[in-house]
Amino acid sequence: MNKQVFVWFLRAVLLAASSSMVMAQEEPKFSWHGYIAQGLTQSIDGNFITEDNNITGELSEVGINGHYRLSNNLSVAGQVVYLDAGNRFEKGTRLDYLFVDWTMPDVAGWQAQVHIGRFKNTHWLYSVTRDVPQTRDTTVLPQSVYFDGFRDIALGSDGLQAKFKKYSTDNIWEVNWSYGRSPLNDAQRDFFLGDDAKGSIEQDFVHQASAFWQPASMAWRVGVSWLESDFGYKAAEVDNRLDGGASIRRLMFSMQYFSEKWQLSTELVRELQEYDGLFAPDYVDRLTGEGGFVQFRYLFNNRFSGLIGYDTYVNNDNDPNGDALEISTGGLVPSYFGYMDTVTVGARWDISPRWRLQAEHHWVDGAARVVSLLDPSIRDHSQEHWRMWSVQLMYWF
Amino acid sequence: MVIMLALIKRIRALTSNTEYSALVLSMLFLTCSPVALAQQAVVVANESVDTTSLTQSELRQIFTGHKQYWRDGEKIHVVVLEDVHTLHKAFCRENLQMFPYQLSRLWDQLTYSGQGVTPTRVSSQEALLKMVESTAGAIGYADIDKIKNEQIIEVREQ
Repeated sequence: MNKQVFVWFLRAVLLAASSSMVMAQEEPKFSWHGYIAQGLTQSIDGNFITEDNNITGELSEVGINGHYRLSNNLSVAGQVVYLDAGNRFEKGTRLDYLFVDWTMPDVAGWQAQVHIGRFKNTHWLYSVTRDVPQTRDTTVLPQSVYFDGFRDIALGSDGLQAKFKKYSTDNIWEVNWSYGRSPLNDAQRDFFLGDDAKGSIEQDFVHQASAFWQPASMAWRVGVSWLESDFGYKAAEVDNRLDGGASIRRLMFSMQYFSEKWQLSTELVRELQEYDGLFAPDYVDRLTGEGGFVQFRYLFNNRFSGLIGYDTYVNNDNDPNGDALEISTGGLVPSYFGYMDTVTVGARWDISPRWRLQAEHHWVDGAARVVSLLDPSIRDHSQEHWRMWSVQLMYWF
Repeated sequence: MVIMLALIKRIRALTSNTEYSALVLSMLFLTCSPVALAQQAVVVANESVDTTSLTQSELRQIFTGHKQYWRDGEKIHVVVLEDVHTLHKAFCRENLQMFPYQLSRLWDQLTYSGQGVTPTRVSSQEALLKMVESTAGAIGYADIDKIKNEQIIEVREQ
């Protein structure tokens, strides 16, 4: 994505907006919305966001979207975002989503929607609006589930998504299914295979399914999701890596509870990773990572709320303290890169209906999600105990 | 509440005199339940809407953005008050069994992921009623004593 695409999208949005204004008393066929957020942030004793303990303004998020109704069951929706988050992921403009939304006739009380194109991942609690600052409880989401290193491939896919919903007097059932693939950039390749990798990596497919239950009041939301994805690597002519592949299988449990004064969110993840080739012709590795988070928000009044959270992750459930990792690498990778536990405290001030100021501080023990385990200077990227904070002002319309 | 709404509709059908109608309605409610009235929102719709009653489940689907068309295919245009408005809080609690922040969160998820269109938010009941009156397919809510010519939608449990 480059600046031209962003300008093109902006022009299309403004043109459609002006054309929709001529219709006075009917629901406009076109609508557009957006958001802008800017903050200050710092990571201390860890390079997760900034290096050398610098404070930075590299916490910018801008998005603009459009929704055009072609007919009663067909619409087109798209969103372009600009993101800058320090070292967390690649800075730049991205096409967040662009898909055709087809509402199908109800069958046996089930409503069905099909999305064709680039769609958002709707299978996890925060995945569908991961880049939309006012929809997140924290600026840095719990890394056990929402790992920023793989942000672009976890966010959405090019392909097909189907959503089914059934409303009854007492319950709401939701079933989602999707199949597609995402392009991977060099930053993600480097995280996967280290800086030495010079070839090209591709996601062969990502197949996801989820099911959620809610009572009619929507006070609870409980669900499970499954992800299956394969990757292939083709080595460059001069390359320290070999042709090979990897596969990921992820099982998740998600739950949210909303009360008048407080809300609770939790997700648990278990992730099987398999590697074949890549580092040696007969190299095979298989490990299971697991973790999860819990976040509790208390609403003091209409404007102020506070949050506490805990997030934990281990790369390998057979080596929760990372001791085997340190031994197997001859001490090159310290044991604390095998896990990551985070305690978070946050505060939110809703200044007016479309303005918000959000601040948070994270105390982190371990560095499993800070940098690729294959980085030759991994030890320099983080100490065992490190922390990070951010303050972000956001506006949306 | 259902019986009271039916009575209101019946009275409104019998007389086209707005002032007389309002007076009769006020007397009726003052007699029946003056305390409940202060916080009770009545669902209203534009005259183009041919639906006269909704189940609670349908109402919830409409106000959470999951049902976007009326039965005749007309687009639904949802109009609501700001989160901090007392009547909006009462409407969310009594009619949707939800909290305003919960509803805002759902709308943001729909709006910023391309799955729907956020409702129109206004800051006063007068503005809400004006928007409902002037927009085809619109639905909103208001205190019963603010209602003039809008079509009232009966909400039933099933």
